[in-house]
Amino acid sequence: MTWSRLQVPVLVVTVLLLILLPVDMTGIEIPWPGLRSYGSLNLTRWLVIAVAAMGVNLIVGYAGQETLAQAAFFGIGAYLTAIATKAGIPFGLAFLGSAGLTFVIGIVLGFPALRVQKHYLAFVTLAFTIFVWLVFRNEEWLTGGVSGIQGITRPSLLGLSLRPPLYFYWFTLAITAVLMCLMWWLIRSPWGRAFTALRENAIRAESLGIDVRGYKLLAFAIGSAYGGMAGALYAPLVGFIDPSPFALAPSLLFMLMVVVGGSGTLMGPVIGAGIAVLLPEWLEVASSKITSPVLQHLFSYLLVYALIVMVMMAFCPTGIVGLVQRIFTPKRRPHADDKGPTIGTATIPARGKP
Amino acid sequence: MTTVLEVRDVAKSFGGVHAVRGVTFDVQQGEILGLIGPNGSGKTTLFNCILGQLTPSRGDVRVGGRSVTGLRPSELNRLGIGRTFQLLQVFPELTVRENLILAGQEHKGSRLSRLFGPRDAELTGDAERMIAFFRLEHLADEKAGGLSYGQQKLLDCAMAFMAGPRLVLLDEPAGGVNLTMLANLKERLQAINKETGATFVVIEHNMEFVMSLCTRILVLAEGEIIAEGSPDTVRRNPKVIEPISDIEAAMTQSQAGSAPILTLDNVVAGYGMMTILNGITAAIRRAKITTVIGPNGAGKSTMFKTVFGLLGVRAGTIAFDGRTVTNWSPRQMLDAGVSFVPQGRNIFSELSVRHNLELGGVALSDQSGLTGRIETMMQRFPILAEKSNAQAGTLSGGQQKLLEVARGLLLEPKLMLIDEPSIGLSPIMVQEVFSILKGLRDSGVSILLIEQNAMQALQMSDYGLVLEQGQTRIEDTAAHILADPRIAQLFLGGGLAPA
Repeated sequence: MTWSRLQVPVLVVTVLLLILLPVDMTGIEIPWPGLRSYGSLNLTRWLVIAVAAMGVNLIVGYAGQETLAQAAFFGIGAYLTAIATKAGIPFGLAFLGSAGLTFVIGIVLGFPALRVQKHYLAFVTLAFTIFVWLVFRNEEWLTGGVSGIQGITRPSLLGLSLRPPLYFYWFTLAITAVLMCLMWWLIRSPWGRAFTALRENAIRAESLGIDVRGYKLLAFAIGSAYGGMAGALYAPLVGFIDPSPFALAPSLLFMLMVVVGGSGTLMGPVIGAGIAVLLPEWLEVASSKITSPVLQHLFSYLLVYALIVMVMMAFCPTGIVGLVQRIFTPKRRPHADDKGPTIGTATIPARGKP
Repeated sequence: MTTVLEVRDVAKSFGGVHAVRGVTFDVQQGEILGLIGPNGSGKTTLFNCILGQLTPSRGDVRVGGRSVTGLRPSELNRLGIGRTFQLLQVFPELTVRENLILAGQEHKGSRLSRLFGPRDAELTGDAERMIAFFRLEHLADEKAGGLSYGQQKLLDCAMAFMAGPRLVLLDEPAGGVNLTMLANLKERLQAINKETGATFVVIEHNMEFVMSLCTRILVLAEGEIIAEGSPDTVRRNPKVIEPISDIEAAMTQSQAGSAPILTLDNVVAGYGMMTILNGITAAIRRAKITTVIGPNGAGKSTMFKTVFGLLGVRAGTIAFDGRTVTNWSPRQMLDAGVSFVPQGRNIFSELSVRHNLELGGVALSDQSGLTGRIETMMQRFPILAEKSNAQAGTLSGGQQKLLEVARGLLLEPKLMLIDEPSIGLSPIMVQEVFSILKGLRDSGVSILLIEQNAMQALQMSDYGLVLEQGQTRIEDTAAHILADPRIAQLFLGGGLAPA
């Protein structure tokens, strides 16, 4: 059974499980008590982070560029949505506004950086993240400074309030699914092919009429907009935002999520985000049962995460998705083939064909 | 006749080096113009100036009467100018079909219509036609990175033609392509020229190929045009130094007694799911030159990588100098006395020539002798001494290859594995490289060589090894192989006509 044939059934089952995961099913004779509010909120947080990581994956994994600004875009989306919804603007508009604003900032930021060499984008985005974080922290009239913005309410959909964590989880799940389908559609489009081309060989791409600069800019802006949209979902999820989750370190974590999950694959960032969000929760539970303080220390989230990253990079640089693909790819035993054609046939040999 | 391309007094300097010094010529509709000249004469630089990869220091380039100087390569391409590159430039992770669709997509519709309009409708058809035209049907769904060198070269050409360009600049289309495939390539190029009226400008070192393909030839030397005319007039022009075949007839060998320096016993190796070497068995003689020949995809380069430890041995054994070295690491092989000069360019282009040589000596356990060794290399290759402080990337293709050979020699290896040293070199440079190899052999170094220039290489070799489908077909003296009618027919493209 190859991975490509397993893909569709696995996807269907996963989506069903994700919908039903927080639901208490003991009423219909299934021994699953569902998740409490806290569990639903954590799942939602995973989806939100996954959307932002998808954007990083487009920039880094598909288009071969670099970004250290995803947490900044995430923050811009979150602050914009918080301020807008508190001012009475509907969530839908705030969400689209976040996407639009981060897209435009992406273009403006990328335009000068992409004219010069590759690593300048890393430097520019690094500086941008610090700049944005300082704005969040210091401009109290707008952002509330270190005390942040409180009391961000969850929106309602067709008159139904999404205040209960379960409903907001389903709402976020639906949006994540839509954004994921959009990403899938984009990377399979001619644009996606052009992104891959500039990752693999920008000079050749340029000589085939591909406007390398334009496509780099698009990839960067679209990826950043995913960060903005994730931020727009994050603000009503947590209800309170302050500058700390939008600093430089979370930007780096977004990069690591993509690498751990599998950069340049559709599922990679989702899996990577899952590990980044759910692992600390699990570790907390695990460490609470341990009495020795030394061992408890070893269960520190970042320590374990850093170890995972290092082990992954050493043994499986293609990430978890690459690992799964490797397991499901049929292996052909090497053998000395005696039946090679004799010297009488001078055809162009087809490599890789049996 | 209409003029497609006008080049007016184009010049390009890098620092103080004048690579192109004011070149003027026209290209007429439907013409196949050949651009020849020794290594470092500025051919590729001129191409890059025409195609927007470089901005000329002076002069103007016009396409269809419109000045295109300063346009970016992508803009030029969308005006109908295609190109291929001297060294392979395909997208290894995409399939052959995807490579072709990509090559055509920017020529249809607007950027938005590419996202929202019907997907690849016409492009798929165009790609199919191009695949059939270049006879790549059996490879259409393979990843381009998995194809052999010659097959990738065909794909590279096909990509340049995907958008139906009116002018195509081909940089050494024949480099690294074996003669069977070369005939295919020439015939395909002529067919396109006839059917679509597309105009070609071709840089090429393979004289037979360029003289039979082109309708007009320009000869470039030291950045200037020194001769121009039909192939016949250029050939008779006294200014054009014809490659002199000073190679003696095949040598006679009778040193069967000496023990082999390298033996392969039923070696199996490959990449991922593909098995390329299907049990190679061979014995390589000490202090001799052995040339490995075979069709593209026969496993020649794979054999070298496997011997040098870059690729795992899946079955069988390799012995070097009396020791079993199966699955040794490249570092261990270096220490044991094997050095490897891979195909393509493998220099550190941003470092100076001297630094490149110093890096070649990193593996030396005793660093004190390094300076002396580098001086020896500089005496052996005076051009390297002359350019010792220049950035290696500014050397011409041939000089870069010499630098690589010199770097490999620094470790004073017992065996050198050299993969396609003559790709991209002018005939005179090829002669020079070959005579250097002979000198090395005479000083006791064993040499294992892959050469697409099979006939010439065999003439200066002692032994030959013929591979096909990852197995040894013939292992004999070079003289016998040269005389073998099957070889002439299969690998040398029909008949051993003297050069």
